[in-house]
Amino acid sequence: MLRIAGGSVYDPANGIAGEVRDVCVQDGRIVDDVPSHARSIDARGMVVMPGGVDIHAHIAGPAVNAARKLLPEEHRADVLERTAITRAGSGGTVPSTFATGYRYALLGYTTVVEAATPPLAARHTLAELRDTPVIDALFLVLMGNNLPLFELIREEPDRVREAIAWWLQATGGYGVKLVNPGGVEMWKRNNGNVTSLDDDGPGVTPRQVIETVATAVHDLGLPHPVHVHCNNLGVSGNYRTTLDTLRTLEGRRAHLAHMQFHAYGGRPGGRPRSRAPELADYLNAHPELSADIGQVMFGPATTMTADAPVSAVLREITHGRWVNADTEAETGCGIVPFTYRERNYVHALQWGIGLELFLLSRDPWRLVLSTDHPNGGSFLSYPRLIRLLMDREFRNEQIGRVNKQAMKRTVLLDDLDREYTLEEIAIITRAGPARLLGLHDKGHLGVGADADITIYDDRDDREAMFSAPRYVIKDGLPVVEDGELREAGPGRLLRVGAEYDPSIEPTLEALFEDRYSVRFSSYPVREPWLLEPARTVAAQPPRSR
Amino acid sequence: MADATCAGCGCACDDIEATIADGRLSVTRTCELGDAWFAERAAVPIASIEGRAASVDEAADAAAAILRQARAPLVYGLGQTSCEAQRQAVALAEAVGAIVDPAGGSGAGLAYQAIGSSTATFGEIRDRAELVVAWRADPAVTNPRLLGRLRLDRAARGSRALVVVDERRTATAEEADAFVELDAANDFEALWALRALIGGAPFDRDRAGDLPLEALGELAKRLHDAGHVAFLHGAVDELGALALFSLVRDLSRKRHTVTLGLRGEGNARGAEDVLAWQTGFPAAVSFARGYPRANPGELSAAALLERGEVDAALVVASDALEQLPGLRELPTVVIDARDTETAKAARVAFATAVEGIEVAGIAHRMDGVPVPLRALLDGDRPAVEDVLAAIAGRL
Repeated sequence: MLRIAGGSVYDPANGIAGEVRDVCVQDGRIVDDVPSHARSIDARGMVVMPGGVDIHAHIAGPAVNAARKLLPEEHRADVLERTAITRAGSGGTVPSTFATGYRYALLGYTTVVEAATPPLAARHTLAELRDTPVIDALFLVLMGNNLPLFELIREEPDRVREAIAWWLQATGGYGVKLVNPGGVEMWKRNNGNVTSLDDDGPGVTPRQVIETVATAVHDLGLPHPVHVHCNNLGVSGNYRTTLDTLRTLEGRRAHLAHMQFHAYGGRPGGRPRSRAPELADYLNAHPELSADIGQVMFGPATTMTADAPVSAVLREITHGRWVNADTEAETGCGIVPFTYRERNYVHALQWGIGLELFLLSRDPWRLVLSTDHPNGGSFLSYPRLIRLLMDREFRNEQIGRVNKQAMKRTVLLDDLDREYTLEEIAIITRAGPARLLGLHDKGHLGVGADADITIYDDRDDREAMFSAPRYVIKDGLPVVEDGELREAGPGRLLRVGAEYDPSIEPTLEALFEDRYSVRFSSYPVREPWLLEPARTVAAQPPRSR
Repeated sequence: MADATCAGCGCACDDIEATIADGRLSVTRTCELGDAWFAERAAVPIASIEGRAASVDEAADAAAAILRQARAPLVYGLGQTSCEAQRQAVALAEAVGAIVDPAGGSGAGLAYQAIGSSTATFGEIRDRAELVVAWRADPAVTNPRLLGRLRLDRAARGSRALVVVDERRTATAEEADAFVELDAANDFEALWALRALIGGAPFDRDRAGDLPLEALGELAKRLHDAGHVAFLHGAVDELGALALFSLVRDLSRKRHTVTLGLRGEGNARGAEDVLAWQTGFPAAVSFARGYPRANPGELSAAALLERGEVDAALVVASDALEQLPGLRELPTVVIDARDTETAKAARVAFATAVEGIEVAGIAHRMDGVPVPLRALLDGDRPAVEDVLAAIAGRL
C-alpha cells in the first residue's frame, strides 16, 4: 500500500491537469484510498504522472541484436556495473537487454512497444524481452512483405483476418506492423523497390496490402490499429505517398509510424523540403488516424529497419558499416550506424520537420512522441526533446545553431510561440500512446489502473526534470527512489487475444510448405517460459461491442 | 510419431520424425551427425567428483567451491546447449567475475564489426540464390543436410550453380558445378582479386603470385552475371572475413548478395546471440571488473590459457580439450550431456539430460532462426540449465 501525497497530478485521461491531490495504490493498482498506516511518499512540489508509454521503439529481437554486435565501441564507452540488484550490461544507442530495462525505468517509462518483429523470430524477441527487466513490453509482428499473406490477399482476401489472428496467437504478438508493404519483397528479389501504392511488383500492390490488412485488423477489433511504416521512407517528395496512404486508410483506424521520415517535399533524388504542414493538417482533420513523430535528435543514432532498401541507400551515404539480413517469406532488415549533424541541411531539416509536426499538431492524443529509437536517436534523448517542446527560448536558441538553409524551409523561423504544457507532455508520452494502443490499464491514474507512476521534481529545466524522475512506481512497487534503481524484477509481456477459425490452419500450412524452411508445427511459440508472465488484452470485434 | 529437432549441427533440422517404443527413441530423416546426436548417451553417473560418482548436491557444492576460490575463472563452450542454458551460463559468469567465451565462433566477428555483413535465412538462399559459392566450406561433411535443405543437390538445383573454393577437392566439391583450388593461406588475396576483377579495378596479374587466376576469372564472371548470389563460408580468418564481406558488399550494389557462416555445433549461433543481448558483445567477454569488457584477441579462451591467466574453468556442453589442451592443468567443472574426454578429465562433472530429447529449449540455427527443441523422452537427469542454477545458488 502506498500513498503519494500532495503532488501536482497530471492525469489527462481523467481530466486532471496539475491538481494537487493524493494518489493511492494497493495490490499493484490505483485505488480510491489507503489506510493511514500505508507508506506515504511526500510529493509536495513534485509532478505526478502515469508511467511513460513508448509507442514505437526497437529494443529486442534479431535486428536489435545484430546492431548490438556491430557496436562494440559504443558498448565499451558506456558500461553498467553489476550491483546487488542489477545485472551488468552496456549502453550506447543499442543497449544490452538489462540496460534497456533499467534505463527506461530510470527515465520514468514503464511500458514499451518493440515495433518490428519478424514472426519467424518471435522466440528470439520473447527471449530478449524476458531479459529486459522492469518494463512491460509488447511487440508488433511484421506482415507487410509476408508471402503467404500476399497469396491470401490475392486469392482469398476474406480470410486474411483469420490468418492475422492466427499469426498473433502463434507469436505472442500484440499488433500488426506494415513496413514498406511490397517494397522489401521487391528488393529481396533484386528488383529495386516499389515507388507508388499501385506498383504491382510482388503480385499485390501496396494499396491492396494496406487496405486488406487495415480492414482485417479493424474487423478483428485488435486494441491497436494497423501500424504503418509507409512506402518511400526518406525519399524527397514522399509526402505524396504518405497522403495517398492516409487516404487509402480513411475511415479505418490506423497509426502511422515515425511520420517525420515521411513528410518530405521536393523531387525524388533532389533536396528534400518540408511538407509537415500538409501532413499535420491532414492528421488534424481525420480523427481515426494517429501517428508518432520519429523525431531526429543531433548526435549518434543507429538506423535499424525492416525497410532494407532504405539501409542500402544509407550505406551509400555513410560509406560505413552496413548490415543486411533477409528473413524468408517475411521481411528484410538493414542496419547503418548514423550521426545526425546540426550543420547538415538534410539532418537539420529532418529535425525541423519533427518539431513542425509537434508544434502544428492540434490533437496531442493522436500525434505522440517518439524518436523511433534508436533510428532518430536514443530514448535517452526524450528529455531534451521535451525541453524543445516546452521551452520556446531554448528551442529558438537551438534553431539558431543549426543549418540556416534548412530552417528557412520550415515554419520554425516564424518563432512559433507554442510551448507544450505539462498536461500535453503527459498526453504525448503516456496517456495518448496508451489510448492508441488500447491499453486501458495504462497511461492513466484512475481507480483500477495499473499503478505505474512517475514522480518528477518540478524543475524549470525540463530536460533535467524529465531525465531523472525522483520516483518511479511499477505495479505499485517503488522501483526508482531518489533517482536510483531500487527494484529490478521482471516486467511482463502484453499480448493480444484474438480468435480465429481453426480451418485457417490447413490453408496456412499449405502456403507455408514451399516458403519456409521450418515446419509449420515448429512455427507457433508454445514455450511457457517465453510467454509468461503475460497479460492478454482481448480483441473486441465490432459486432460484439 | 512426434516432431523433433536435431541439434547435431548448426542446421538444427526441425523436420525429424521421432517414434518412441518401450522408452526407446527412433528417428527418421536424420543424417549421420543426427544419428549420433539422437543415439543413447553413455550411462555415466549424473554427477562425479574426481571420477567418483557423487550426488548432484555434492558436485554442485564442489563446483561452486572451485568457482568461488578462482580469481580468474573461464566459462567456455555453450555451443551444444539451449539458449536457456546459455542465458544461465552468462549469468553465472557474471556472478563470479569470469571470462565467458563461446566455442565455435564464426571467426568473422572483427570483420563484422568493421564493415557489417549481408546475410539471409535458409529459405531465402534456397528460393532465390542463382549462384551459391561455398568458400572454404564443406557442408556435405560438416552439415550433411544443408545442401539438400538449400535445394542444392545436383538433381534439385536446376539451373542454379554451386561453386566450391577450397584447398582440396572436398565432398561438396564433388557435388559442385565448378571447383577452384585455392591454397589455405590465399583467402584474402583471392577475394581481393575477385573484387578487382568484378569492379574493373586495375589489376597487376604479374603480382598475383600463385593465385589460380583463370579459375578466379571464371568465378568473377559467374558472380558478375548472377542476379542473386549467396556465399556459404566456413572458418575463415579475420582478414579473409573482411575481404569476403567486402566482396559481398561490392556485389550487392548490382545484385542481391548474402553470405552465411556455417556452424558445426547445434546452437553456437545461440551462444553468440545470448551473450550479445546480455552484454552487448558477441564473444570473449570478461566480467572481471564487474562490467562486460570484450576484446576477442586479448580475452579469447585460447589466448588466456596460453598466457596462464585462467585459474579454473567451467566448460558447458563442449569437448573443449581438443582446442584448449591447457584445461588439463586447471580445476575444471564440466556440464555436458555427452561423456567427452573433457568430462573425463574434469575435477567435477555433470552428465545432463539432452535438450531436444529429454528437455525442451530453444536453439538458434546457423542463420539465426530460433527453433524449438522438444522433450521427447522422460529422463532422470537434470538439464544443463538446472545444474547451472544449482551452482549459482551456492555461490
